[in-house]
Amino acid sequence: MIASAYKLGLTHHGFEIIIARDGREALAVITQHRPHIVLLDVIMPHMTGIEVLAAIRENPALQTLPVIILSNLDQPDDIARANELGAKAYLIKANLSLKDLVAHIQDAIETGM
Amino acid sequence: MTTRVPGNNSKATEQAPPPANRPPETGTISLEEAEELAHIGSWQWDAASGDITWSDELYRIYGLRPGKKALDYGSFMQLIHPEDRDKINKLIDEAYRSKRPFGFEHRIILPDKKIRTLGGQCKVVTDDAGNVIRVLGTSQDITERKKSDQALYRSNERFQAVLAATNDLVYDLDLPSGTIWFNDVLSREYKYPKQEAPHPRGWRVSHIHSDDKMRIKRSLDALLRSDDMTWVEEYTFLKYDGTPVDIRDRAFVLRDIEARPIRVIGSMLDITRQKELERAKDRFISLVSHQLRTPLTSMRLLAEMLAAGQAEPITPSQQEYVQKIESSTKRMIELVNEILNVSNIESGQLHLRLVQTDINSLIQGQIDEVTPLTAENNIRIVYEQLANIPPVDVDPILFRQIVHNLLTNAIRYTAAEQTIVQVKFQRTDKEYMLTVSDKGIGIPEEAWPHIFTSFYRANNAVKTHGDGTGLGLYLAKLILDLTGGKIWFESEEGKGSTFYVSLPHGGMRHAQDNTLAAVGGT
Repeated sequence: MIASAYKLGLTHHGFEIIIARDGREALAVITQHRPHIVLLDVIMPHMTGIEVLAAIRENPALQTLPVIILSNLDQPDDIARANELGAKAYLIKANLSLKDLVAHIQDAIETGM
Repeated sequence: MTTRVPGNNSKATEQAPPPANRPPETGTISLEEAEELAHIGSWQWDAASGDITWSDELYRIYGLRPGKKALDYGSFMQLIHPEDRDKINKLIDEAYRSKRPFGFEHRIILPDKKIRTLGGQCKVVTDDAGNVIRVLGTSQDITERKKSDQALYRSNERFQAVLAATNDLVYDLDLPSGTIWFNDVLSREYKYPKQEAPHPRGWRVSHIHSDDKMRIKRSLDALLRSDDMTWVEEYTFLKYDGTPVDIRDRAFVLRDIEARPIRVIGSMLDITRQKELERAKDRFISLVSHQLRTPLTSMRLLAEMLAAGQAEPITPSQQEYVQKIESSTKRMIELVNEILNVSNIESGQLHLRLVQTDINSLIQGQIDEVTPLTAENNIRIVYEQLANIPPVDVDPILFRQIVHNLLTNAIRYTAAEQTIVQVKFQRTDKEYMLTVSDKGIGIPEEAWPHIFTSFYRANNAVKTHGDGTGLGLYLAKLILDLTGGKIWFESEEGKGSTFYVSLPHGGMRHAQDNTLAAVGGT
């Protein structure tokens, strides 16, 4: 539901969006399509967003890929781990307008990892 | 009553005792004087005649005037407490039979009917054939000693009963001997093998869970170095089989006259159940709040997109409705965030992230964010900022929350059109001070003591604005209390309110002795 709302909104702002339904699928999509940026939720089937982020960083080809964690969960441990793994930002979905999200994405793509 | 006239009258093996009134030798005192000083009386009972001779002091002990005439056994018995007469008879029978010295204790009734307790020692004198010729003895009033013995006995009995009745693990750490004693709860509830000897001093700490051990060790060391008399800590203690038990340990320190600690006596209360409930409550709040955020996010996003005409162009009245949906959704998200924040801080999960922050831009940012709320009443926010303040060490998220709560309150409770909300940031000699003043409905005096209480809302606030949560000021105070700041207010009903927030020049910091410090320190 949220993912499709984000897809609608972000497509409107000119982004091309691919949605993965779980952590494993996300890794496959990332390796195959090489997106400019990845938005990861924390709670996902099979692999958490933090685990996906760790796997991304283990792949030498993906080490500089900008990643934003976008979740409604804000456990301090997760936030700290995401920072360690070089996430560009850890954003709380509910506190974020679409406009804010677009600004974060543009900033992350411009500045890179 | 037993007859006390032995038939044999043969020659004594011992000389008769010297008369009590023998003249004193130089430098000594007479026996009589000694008796009087020590309040010890003496007596002797002559087996042949059955007569009992008393010393003057013994007469005084019985409350009688000293007399020279010997008492007969029957008159003597009249002075003894009726319940103890039988006991005396048996004692004398036994003395006759065994001829050994014995101690005794009995009650007497004084002429004024008062009851006293006497105690003493007797000796049986026999002739060569082993016949009793005389019994000698001393008596003294032991009433007061008996009373204090009984009081001590009762107090000890009460203490033993309390130790047996309680489920608290009670300990007595004796520093000079380096040992620690526990009550039976150690074996009864914690299943450690029973042992008579006390444990070595460090035994208790060595059975604390490794996560807490160093913290408790440091805290105990600090206690012993301090002048404190009491100590309270919570930690996890391990049963004999390794099962963890949540403990609240309250101790009292006994010190010598130079205030050096000599004993630490404490009780360890099992609070496992309470901790489980707290954790369950925290998990529940966290789960519900996070679950609420998800649908709210969708509502917020879709309303924003609708309002932006992203689906397809909408009419002005549709626009107005959608904007109301959007702002209500934001309000609900804010409420969920506040509940989560309060829950996190109350459960000690707040992690202070201090960042050197440009306070002016933080405050300005918050003013910009709440400005849309001022449109309805045409309220103007005037920010009197302090030029050239160096960055202040604060947790920007928490400080923003405080500023946000004060601003939204000021706007929400300003009823009149076209008034001003004044925001000021100053630096005084002692601290930084943020002031937010409004000309709103004010706080009625009866609400003053409750204004920082969670879920409290003043009557006039409830009537004019149903949507406040009653958490904003509580949260602000909670954060400031834990980070070394202060918050207070001045208000007059109908005229407006001014809220003050002060922070030390050093900015926010972990306050001592609170949940934040506990989280930050371990």
